[in-house]
Amino acid sequence: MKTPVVRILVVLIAAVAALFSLDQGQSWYLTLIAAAVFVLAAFTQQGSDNNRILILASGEILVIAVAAASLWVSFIVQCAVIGAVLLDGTFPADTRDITFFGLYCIVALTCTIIFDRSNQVLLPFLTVTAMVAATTVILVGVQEMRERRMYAGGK
Amino acid sequence: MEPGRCTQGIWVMAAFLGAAAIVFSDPSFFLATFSLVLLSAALAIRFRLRMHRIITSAQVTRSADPKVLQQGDTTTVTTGFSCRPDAGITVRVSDVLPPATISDPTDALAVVAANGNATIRYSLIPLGTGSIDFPGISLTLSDPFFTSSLVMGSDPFRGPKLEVHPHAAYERSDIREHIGEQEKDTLSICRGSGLRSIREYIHGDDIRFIDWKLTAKHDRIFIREYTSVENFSPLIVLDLPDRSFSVPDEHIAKLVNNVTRETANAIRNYGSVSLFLISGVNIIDIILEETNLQRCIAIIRTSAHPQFRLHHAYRWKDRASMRRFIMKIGGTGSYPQKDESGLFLGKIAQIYRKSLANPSIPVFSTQVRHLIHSLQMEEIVLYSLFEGDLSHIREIALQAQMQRIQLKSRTVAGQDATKIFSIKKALGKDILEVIP
Repeated sequence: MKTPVVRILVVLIAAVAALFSLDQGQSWYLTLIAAAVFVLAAFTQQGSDNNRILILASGEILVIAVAAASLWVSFIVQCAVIGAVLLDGTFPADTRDITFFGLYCIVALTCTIIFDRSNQVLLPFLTVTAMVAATTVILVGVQEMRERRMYAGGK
Repeated sequence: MEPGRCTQGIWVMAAFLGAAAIVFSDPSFFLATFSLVLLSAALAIRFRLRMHRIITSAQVTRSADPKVLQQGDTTTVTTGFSCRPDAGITVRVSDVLPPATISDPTDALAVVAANGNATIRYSLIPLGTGSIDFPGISLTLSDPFFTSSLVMGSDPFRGPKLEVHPHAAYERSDIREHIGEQEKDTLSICRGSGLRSIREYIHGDDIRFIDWKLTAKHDRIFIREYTSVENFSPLIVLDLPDRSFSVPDEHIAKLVNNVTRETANAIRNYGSVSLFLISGVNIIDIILEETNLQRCIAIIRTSAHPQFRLHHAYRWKDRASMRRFIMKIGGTGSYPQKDESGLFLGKIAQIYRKSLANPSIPVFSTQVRHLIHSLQMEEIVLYSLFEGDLSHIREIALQAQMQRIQLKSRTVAGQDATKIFSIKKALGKDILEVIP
């Protein structure tokens, strides 16, 4: 299966960002291994469920490895990993996905700033996670209820 | 909305990373966990928006042929679905069946193509009566992360209405056979109001027809016999060829198709049908007064193919034919003859005489007689390719003739003209319908 251009792009961004963080960290070999695993995962078994989970898992390991050197570089890697899954070959056909990705990056950036500047991370983390989860449940639930009512039929 | 395997994987990862974040209190773990939660939220909202776009553009056209039918009959339903396609989402569409109906296939569904169109075709058998409305369609949408179903039952997705008329409540006439009543009412789907006779109660009678005055007077239960329609469903006989004969597949297919059509017509017109599947003198299957078309079709599909004939009739003749033959060639004094043909005829006559002296009735003959006696019928429709020995067909024709039942013989086109002629001669009648 042909690898989508968008995936090549985001994997390159993640890999380059990881390589730039090598000289800043102590455990550079872990970052290198995590980057290699992520690149391998991104180009095997295109389009399958296993592949998506593998990309995410290896990507998150890479994010944690890079974060030891720099939280801001790890934010870039995180966006690239999520982009590899979220855009998944639809780019540039579906511009709505790009909007979603843009929104995702903004929210993730805001939260990274919060995590970076906070004295302790747990409370802000729980707060923003709960807010995101609650907002999603409300939006999805209300939409689902509206659709079910609209199409239920009166008889 | 249900999470898919990918989403479950993301949640598991988020849980692990969240636990690790709390233990190590490291911002990188918190960032990874939050990213996964945010990704799940984004995927869920994106799926909902895509689904909304699809269902708001959905259109349904549904047709049923026929729209007016009898209870138990089959109507063919064709549902066309169209929507704005979305490359990331798979849409499966199926019809919601009206209550008290059976569909064939039972799980008729279609996957929406890349152009956004799908067509579902299935047969529907209403079991109830009255006006039946199609309740709508059921959509199942899925992407790699989520799956959701929606029943669309609003007005644009409903209809058309089917009008199902009740099946005729035919009376079984064999219950009066021993009483000798033979009157028939004019055709009506309801029990008549005219009184035919009053008789004593027989087990199985409807207690609503008890004449209470006479019952009280004579201290025995009396039943009022109302005039009504009598049901004489036909007997369809399918004679399957021996597997040792090389019969073209298209002949078999044509024969089976015609038997299926005849069965469907009989159920529609008479309410029931009897099927008798044989291969020579070997009985393959019997169904008596069956009202379920699906069951008949299932049996025809299962059994209607060339069979190994375990038993053969060996050009068996009935006693009347043997007597006629002996009388025709000149009785006992003509044996032995000098010329060759006479010698042959004399030999045959001798064999016939021996057979007449030691009467033995073939099992098949007895079975056919019992079958014809047990059923109330006015006609037998016989389908056969007439390959090989025709003794068994001659036997059926004879039994039908004795019971004054009309026998219609049918075969498929594409057979030798001389063979058709010999069949007509063997059956002793010129009526042999050749199916085109």
